[in-house]
Amino acid sequence: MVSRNSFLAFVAILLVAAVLGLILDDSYLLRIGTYSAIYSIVAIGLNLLFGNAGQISLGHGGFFAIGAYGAAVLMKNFHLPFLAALILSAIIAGLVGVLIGYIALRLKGHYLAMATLAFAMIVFGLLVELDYFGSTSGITGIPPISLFGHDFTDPRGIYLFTWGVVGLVYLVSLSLLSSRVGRALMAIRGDDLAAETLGIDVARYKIQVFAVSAFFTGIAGAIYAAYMALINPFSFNPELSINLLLMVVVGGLGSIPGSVLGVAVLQVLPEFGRQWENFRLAGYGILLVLLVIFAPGGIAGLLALLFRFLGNTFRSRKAVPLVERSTYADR
Amino acid sequence: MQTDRRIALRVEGLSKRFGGLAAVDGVSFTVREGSIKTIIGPNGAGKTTTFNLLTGVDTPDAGKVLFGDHDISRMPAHEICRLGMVRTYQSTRLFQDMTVLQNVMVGQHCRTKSDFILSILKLPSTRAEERRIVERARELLAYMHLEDRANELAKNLPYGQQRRLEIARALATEPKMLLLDEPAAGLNMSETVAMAEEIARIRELGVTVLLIEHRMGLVMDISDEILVLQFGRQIADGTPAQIQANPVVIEAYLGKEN
Repeated sequence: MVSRNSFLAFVAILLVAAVLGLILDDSYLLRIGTYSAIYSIVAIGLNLLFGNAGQISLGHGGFFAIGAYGAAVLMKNFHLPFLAALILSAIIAGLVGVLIGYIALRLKGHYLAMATLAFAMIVFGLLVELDYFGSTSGITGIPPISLFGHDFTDPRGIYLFTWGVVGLVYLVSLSLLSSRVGRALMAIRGDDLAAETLGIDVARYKIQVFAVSAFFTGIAGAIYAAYMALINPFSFNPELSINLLLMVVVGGLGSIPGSVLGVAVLQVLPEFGRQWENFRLAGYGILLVLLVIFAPGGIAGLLALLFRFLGNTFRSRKAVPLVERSTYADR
Repeated sequence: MQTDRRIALRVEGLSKRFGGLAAVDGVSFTVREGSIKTIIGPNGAGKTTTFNLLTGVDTPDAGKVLFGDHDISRMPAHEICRLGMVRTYQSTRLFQDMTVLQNVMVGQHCRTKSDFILSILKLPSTRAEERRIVERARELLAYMHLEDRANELAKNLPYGQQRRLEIARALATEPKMLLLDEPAAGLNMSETVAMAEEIARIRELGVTVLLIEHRMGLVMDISDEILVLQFGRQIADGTPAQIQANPVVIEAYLGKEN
């Protein structure tokens, strides 16, 4: 029972993405669009964890790195096809997610944020130090995205493929959230003690949602590696984790379409302000503070307000004659 | 009365210390199936701690809790709920940002099965289960006179309705035994009378009720048995008439006559 509104938002977002993909003729714009798709996959996964189950993570850059390096190594050193490497590296990220989820059982709020940030820093540190992963120079010559023998090398093809994956992840999340499991996750976010005494195995669900979230992020990492063809640790520094969380918060906690919009805004905005590049982090900080104060629901919350306002004006215009008619009937 | 009924809950020597304070100290009592038993006592007597120990929110330092044939004294809270014991809280703990209907649907969690994979695939069996959950939740809302609030957020309900919603959500777990922690706290006179009727009705469903309550009128009216706690120890256990005549209880509540 997926609600009608979230399904409409899903269709609208994918339609816009597809149309943009077909009309954009500039490889630079397609590149921004592809990045947006990759980070949307992460944001949807992170949103499940933070927005719906209430478990903060400042460590998703770590899962992203595991997906990317996993896929790179599996494709380059073990000669696995792209799809197998993607699934396998996402599973590895998911298993690490189980581990982090297990640790998260004992931690809440700020402590969980610190612990997950530490995880991202450990992954980053290992990638810098370990020669197997090329240390600071990373891995080069990663084979491209390919499906059933077809290599995706043109920007448009990659763009459309990546947005296709966004669609898939989006649908899976939508389906999950509108189910018994989704309700359990929301209950845990709302009050985990009440959830536990109502028969929800809170520990198990926390671990599982960490795993699913990390799995999605691993998928995004694998696509990123194959798309970039070369990766190095500096693409996965702890700042990435903070940016990922920012995308979810800007988009609107708990809203899947919000996650995609949040990513789009934070990918596109900097393009208009290249000359202020050095102030980007300061800008993000100010944006975050303003959002938390004035629009805690993020972009999704603002849009919901707008639609409700439009809906009300539309309805009240129709409601007037209805009232008049009923007064007539009373006489 | 009802001496022929089976024992639903048997508590033996239940104890819990917090630092140097014996919050619950060797409490033993039984609750008969289908009865209403009330725990009374001054503030700090250990009533809510007893609830926490029974429902797995806290683990006892000593003592045993037998629920039916199961020793639940060290069982995780969610498994205790699955066995059929559920509670409400002194200050309601609703899922504020979920709708009234969703709150009750969460209560059905332990009686349904769809896991992550099934939830994603949405097989016909999952959809059928989901429909049953909605149907059952609506029945319970109607039972607690909340059916017209189904789509409101829980936090937007007035206080009295929040109390009823919490009970509806608890009933959705299909309990054998319901523990109510001061269900009439903060309710006005007419709401309290209505709550007493709700509790009596719940017993008619075949649910055993264990109650913590301060309003003596309500307690004496609906209880089959009363357990009196003071400073973590039990000082009396019996029928309302026995409790009212018990000199130790009178002393605890009114002070000693000189």
